[in-house]
Order: sequence, then C-alpha cells, then structure tokens
Amino acid sequence: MAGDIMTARETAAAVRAGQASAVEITKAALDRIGALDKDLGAFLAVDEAGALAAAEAVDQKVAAGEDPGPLAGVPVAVKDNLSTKGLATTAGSNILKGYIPPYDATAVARLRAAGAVIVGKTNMDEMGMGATTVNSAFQATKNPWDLDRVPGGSSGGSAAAVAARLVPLSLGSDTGGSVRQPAAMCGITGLRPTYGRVSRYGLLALAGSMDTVGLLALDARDCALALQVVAGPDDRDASAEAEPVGDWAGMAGEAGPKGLDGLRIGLPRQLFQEPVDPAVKAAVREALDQLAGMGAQVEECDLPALTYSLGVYYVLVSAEASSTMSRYDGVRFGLRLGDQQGVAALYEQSRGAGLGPEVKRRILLGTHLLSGDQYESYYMQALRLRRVIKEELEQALSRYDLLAAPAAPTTAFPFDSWRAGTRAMYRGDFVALPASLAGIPALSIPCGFVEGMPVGLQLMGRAYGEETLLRAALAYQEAFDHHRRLPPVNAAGAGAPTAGTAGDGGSHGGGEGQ
Amino acid sequence: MVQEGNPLSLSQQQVMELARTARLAVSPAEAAALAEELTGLLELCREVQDADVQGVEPLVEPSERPGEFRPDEVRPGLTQEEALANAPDACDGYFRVPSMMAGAEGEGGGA
Repeated sequence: MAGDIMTARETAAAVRAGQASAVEITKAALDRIGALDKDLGAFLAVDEAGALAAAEAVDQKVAAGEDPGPLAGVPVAVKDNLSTKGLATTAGSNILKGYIPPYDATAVARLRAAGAVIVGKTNMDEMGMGATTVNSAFQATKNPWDLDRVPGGSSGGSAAAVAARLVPLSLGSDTGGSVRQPAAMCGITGLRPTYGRVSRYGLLALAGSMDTVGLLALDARDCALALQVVAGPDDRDASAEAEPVGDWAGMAGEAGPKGLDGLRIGLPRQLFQEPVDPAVKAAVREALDQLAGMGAQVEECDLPALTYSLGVYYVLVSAEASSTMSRYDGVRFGLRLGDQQGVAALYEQSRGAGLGPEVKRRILLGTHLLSGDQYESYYMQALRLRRVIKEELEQALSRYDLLAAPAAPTTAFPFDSWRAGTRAMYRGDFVALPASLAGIPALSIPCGFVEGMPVGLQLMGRAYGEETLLRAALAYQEAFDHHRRLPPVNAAGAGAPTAGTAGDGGSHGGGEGQ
Repeated sequence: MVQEGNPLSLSQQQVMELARTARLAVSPAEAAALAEELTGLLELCREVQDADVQGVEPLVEPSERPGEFRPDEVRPGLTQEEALANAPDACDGYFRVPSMMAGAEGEGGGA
C-alpha cells in the first residue's frame, strides 16, 4: 500500500490514452485508504460504490471513443464542507450529522464533469473554525509525517489524504489560511484562488467575504490543471466573477526547466516576525535565496498595516460567522432538540447541543462585536482597516510581481502541546490572513524540512494573477524536489529515516499551546 | 477579575445574555468559562481600535465590482420532496415547528 502514486495529470493521461483503467486506479485508491486511513483519520466518509460507478462511466467513455475529460479517472477527496449530492456532508459538526445534500457544489460538479472520481469526504475543523482539524466533532486527523502531530487545518483531512498519497488531489476551502497552512504542515502544494475565481455555490459558508474553494495537490502543475476545471463564473453564485480562465492545463504539461528572470518578489518584514519560528524563517529564506539564484529579484519591504491583520480578521470572521451560523436552527435540516418546549427552546437546544465549543465562541464573540455599543468601534473600524490592508498589498504588488512569506509560523506541532481557545492558537494564523482579507490569490509549496517536518513557502499574487503564482511555484518545483519526498507512512519499508520526527515539542517556539 | 461595564471584558451574565440573543443554550458553568475565553479573544480584537483610520471608506468585500444578475428565467430547481428530505419534521409539504406564540396551544403547523 505504501509508496508513491501518479500525479493527477499522469493519471488522466494514462486513462485517456486507454493505458490504465479508471476502475483499477479507483480500486487502488480505495485500497490505500483502507490500509492507511485507520491510522490517519483523514476521511469522514468513503463512497466506494459511487466512486466505482463514476470510474466505470469513465472507462466506458474511453472505450466508446468519447472524451472522458481532463481529469479522467483521477481520484479526488472533497472537504466535508462542500456539498456532494447523495453523500453525507457535515462540515465536521454534530449539527449536520446525517445531512445528505440534494445537490452538488459547483466545484464538485465541475470535477465530476471533467471525469474526476470523488472517493470520499475529508475531516475538518467544525465549520472551518480552527487550524488543527482537532476541532472536528468526529475524529482527529493525524499528520502523515508524524502521527503524534496535527495536520494543520481546517482542511486537514484533505491535506493529509494527499500527503499520504491516498489521492493525488483534493478540494479544500480557505477563509483564513485553511488550505495553505495544512498544505504547509503536510508537505504538499495548496492554492487559495482569488476571491471570485471559483464558485462557492454549495460551500457551507463560514465568512462570506473571505471564503474561497481551494485546491490541494502533489505539485503546482496539478493545481494548475485542476484550477482550470473548477474556475470561472457560475450563475448560481454572483460572487464568481466573469474573469477569463487561462490555459493552465497547457501550462501544467509544459516540459523543461524554467527560469524566473526578472520576477520581482517582495518579502514583507511584518510576516517574518515573531511568532514565526526561527528555523521556519531560515528554511523560507533559503528557498527565497534559491529563487533569487534562478533569476528572481528578491527584496525586503515594509507593509506596516499587515500588523493589524490578526485583529481585523478575528473581528470580521466572528461577526460574519455569528450571522452565517444562524442557518443552523434545527428547522430545515440537521439536529433538532427541545421541540416539546416551543420554538425558542428548539433553536437554543438544537444549537447548544449541535454546535461545538469553537463555533459557540465565535458566534458569541460576533454577536457581541455587532451589538449596539461595539459595532462602530470594532466592526466598522475593522472594515476600514481592511481597506488600508488591501490597498497596501495592492501598492506592493504594483512594485513586485509576488509577495513571499512563511505559509505557517511553525511546523506541525504535537497534539499535546495544543489547547483550544487560546490566543496563541489564533495567533498562528497571522501569516495567512493578509491575502484572505485582500481577496488575492496565494499558494503554499513545500520548501524544506525542520526536524523532519515540512515547511511551506507562501507566495501571494495580484487578484486574478494565479498564472504568475503557479509559474513561479512550477519553476521552483522543477529545480527542487521537496514536494516529492514521501512521508514515513508511505516510505515505510523503504527504510525511511524517522529520527527527528518524534515529539521534541520544545523547539517549537511559536507560542502554540501556551 | 471580570468587571461589569468594562468594554474590554465580558462577565458570565453578559455571556448568558449574548447566548440568549444568539439562540444558543449555554449552561452557567459554560458561560463562566466562555467569559474568560471571550475576554482573551476580545483583547486580540481590541488592536483594531488603536488604528487611526478616520475617513477611510469601509471595505466589506474584497471585490467591489457590482454583482451581475442572470436572466430571470424559470428553470428546474429542487423538488419539494428533495427540499424536505433533510427536515427533522415535515407535514403536508411544509417544515413543521412548534407553535411560534409562547404558550399558544395548537398543532404548530408551518402555515
């Protein structure tokens, strides 16, 4: 079961050429899940029958000489906050236990139409609130590089599933770093597209002004291929804008080494400061030196408004979540309690029992921040700062093609060094938040290791500038192979070194678990 | 100590009131723990109050393009059966909830 797997583009090419059967590829993925996921806990549901039926349909198209699509036969895992028709979707919450969506999210429907095979739903922090996947109501997902450590979150199941080579591609969502941070902690490539690039129809919302559907893959080429499939306007989501979709699949297939001549990369000093772990910072700086060696012009810059990102984000995400979460009321779907005592008791008891502690914290905080006395001094003030942050980033991105930072301030930390609801926990998100607030695209690529755990380099680009981001990532991955290194769960039997992966939590000075 | 009236901290009583506003059942013990956690979080949010951004137009969404509407054409959507399939309680094609009026008797039909 262990070992490496084909990328999404290799899989699709083999299936399209009739050299591989989608059914056999799907069975192999299901076997890997069966063998490894009991230790990892990446999946909340595996849809064996649905996956095999979809694979069979792909094979029939190939046999009939029809075009089976650009992702023909590619096994894909989907984060459990994206609606999948007929397949339970819980967003990691007890309030949605047993909920079966009557429709597909647009991103899911587009993957299916492209020939992808949805194999199951992945674990996540409840409603997307968290950065560890420990906040799931159902199970904890382990990091494939060290089962005693968190995978990051909230798309931790989707990240672990790709990192452990159960599937080559997964869908996630990124509100405040929930694709980039777990991608970094699991040693894979994660893309948060521009706000407006991918339809959110069928995505269970956390904060509507920041939610995006993102991609997690083995490398930037596969991200490019998959982005072309899911991107583009959607008349079911007014926020999905009519921006042209590029030939990113063509880019994914381009051969040969790539230079970065003339690419200007700015490093905001504010994103390299405490609580960024010195060893993480050193690994990221080394990767940036390597990009400079490939022809990029790399220089530091000051973006002082970014220091407000954390406060602005938590005001806005809590305010928006307190409103968004009001749909979970025990009336139209989900858990219902207390209906013998009137409708107020029904709401209160269904929500009180069905929603977990982190969701309650943010609902209550948001309710407070939006209340009469606080509205102006917190919410409106945060919205003004949001514009300042966005304009500062836009100005920087007129001088630079890309901005670079760590994708997470630390490597994945041990489960036992983490405590819910602490300020240290929230602070861990801060490097991801500027791109979220400004709506610009950003990705994380593996750029090295600290004590055996992967480190992610974050690149941010101009709105709708995914192509520049992906080209830089692709060039880096042509020259360096951190993204090809297998985690111990896959390298088992190959004599993979495990030293340095066991619980030396003391070196993680990032404030987690304080 | 948490003080009443201090805008930078929340008391157990205030948390109980917020929970009522948010229609969230919270026990007194939960509320005490939440008061402490939320006070910590509020401190994190407080940094936005220090910034001088007078006169800056608030930015609600990153994209300020006007939304586009699709043509208003009738097209198939969910069937009534599909829409009600996840309902905890349904009756005659409606979602059913208890009586909306406190103390009112009756069947509590949604109509």
